[in-house]
Amino acid sequence: MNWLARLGAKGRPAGDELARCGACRFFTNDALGLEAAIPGLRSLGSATSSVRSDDGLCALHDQYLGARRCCADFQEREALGADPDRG
Amino acid sequence: MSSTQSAIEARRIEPPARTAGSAWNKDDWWAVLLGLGLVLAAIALFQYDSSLKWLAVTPARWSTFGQLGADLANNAIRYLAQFAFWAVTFSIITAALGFETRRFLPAFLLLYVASLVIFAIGQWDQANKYNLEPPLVALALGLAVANTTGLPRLFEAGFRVELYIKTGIVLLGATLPLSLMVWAGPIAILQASIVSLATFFVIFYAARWFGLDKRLAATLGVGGAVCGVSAAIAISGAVGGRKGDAPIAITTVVIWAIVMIFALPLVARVLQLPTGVAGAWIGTSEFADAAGIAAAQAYGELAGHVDGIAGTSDQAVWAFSLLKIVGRDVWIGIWAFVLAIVATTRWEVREGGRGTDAGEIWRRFPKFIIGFLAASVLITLSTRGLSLADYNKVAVPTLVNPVKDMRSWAFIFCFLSIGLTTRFRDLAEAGIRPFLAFTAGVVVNVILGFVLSTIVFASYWTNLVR
Ligand code: SF4
Repeated sequence: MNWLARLGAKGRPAGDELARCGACRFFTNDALGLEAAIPGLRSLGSATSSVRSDDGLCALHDQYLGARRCCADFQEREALGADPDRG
Repeated sequence: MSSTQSAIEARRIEPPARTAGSAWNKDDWWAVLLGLGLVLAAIALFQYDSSLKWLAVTPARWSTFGQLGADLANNAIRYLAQFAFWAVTFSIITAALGFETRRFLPAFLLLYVASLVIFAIGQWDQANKYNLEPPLVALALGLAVANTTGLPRLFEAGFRVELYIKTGIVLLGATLPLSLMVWAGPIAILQASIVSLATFFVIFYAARWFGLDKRLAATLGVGGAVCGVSAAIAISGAVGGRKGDAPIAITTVVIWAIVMIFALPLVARVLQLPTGVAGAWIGTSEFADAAGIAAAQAYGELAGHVDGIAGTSDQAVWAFSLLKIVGRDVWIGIWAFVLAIVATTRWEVREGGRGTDAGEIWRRFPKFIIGFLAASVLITLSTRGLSLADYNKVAVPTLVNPVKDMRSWAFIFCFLSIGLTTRFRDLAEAGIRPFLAFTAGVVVNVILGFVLSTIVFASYWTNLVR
């Protein structure tokens, strides 16, 4: 691990890599849905831009955050299509 | 339920087929593919003594409607072919991004026809006398339509500001000599870094002074310091901002960016700044790439048409690109990475929480910059054996100018799309405190940018030549 990666890992607790916002039932990050939900985003930007990465909205905490984040309230999302919360 | 929530809920009913992290649903990589594809095609044709010129048709200069009508009629088949080219390529791309082609095509047809009209207005020999620079006309027309009668929502699939601007920026790389990037790039990075850091800290501490949350303060700060709306959405995600933070920052950025598109060229014109100097100032002090290119191109077009404005139109766009793209945009991943670490280790330490990793820098890197640099390298390599005289005589008309004309089309699509998608009544309520904090940064940014561009590093920006 190089120094940059070590710096990035600071504050990241060891844990299940799969338990992350991107796999959580409270998380939605569909680009077109975000453009509809965030006024002005498509006027001088877009949700399909690299800089947005895979960020999305957490409905539980009302937060906009990266899909690689996580918290103690994580709840695994069910298979794609089976759960209406799937985004 | 808020409108934000209802929009998200509505989208949940139809789960997307692609995963959010795939390169194929990012407009950056598509812009690189399309832009470099055009550049490679132009180079290949040039090597075989042919040219992309036939496809890259633009209206000729005219003084009477008769001349304009004759020019359009003579080139009707070329315009049709060009429309077909853009329509097919952008349809494929927008379909990959998740838009329905049956919605995209009618909107794009409208966009193309309106762009042709705007292009033709800009070629009128009296256009500069009446301030009818195409970027400003496109914006003003788009804003007027969007904020009065408006267009049906289904047309929005065709107004992809980012896709068009990134395609245009990749093509812009082909007209920016690599030698110039090497010579002025370090100065551009130095100037942009000074202004970016000053702007960020002024906005951040002003926002904190007004009692705003640290995450919103950071989102506003990088929005002003780096790349406007793109930076606001990137940093809000990186620091885990509240749901309302990004819309607040975006509203503030959009309002200031639109004001600056008109204000910066106007002040530069009054002060009769050389085009390179004005381009550098716009690159340092405008907030979004699309807005900045509109301002820089509009000002550059005054060269040779308005007394007292020295330089060339290329110099305005070159200086802008060096400052904005090379000096500011490339650092967005690093801003996001550093602020994400600060946010997760100091601002909001949550049980079971997870920070970030160095991959964040690459994930958020604006990939279109790779295309911009690659285009510059490709054209430089393909013309390296030519003397300056041969380059100007042979390569400019048959290789460089056709790429430049395709770039002009992409930019006009973008400028018109900015106007058509900016509905002031739809923007989120920003509140006075975020607006004032951001405005403090604008004041510092504009003054510092002006001093560095017109005094400290002016010799670089006035001497941008091939
Ligand atoms: S912050 Fe927690 S609850 Fe929210 S999406 Fe991430 S893991 Fe799920």
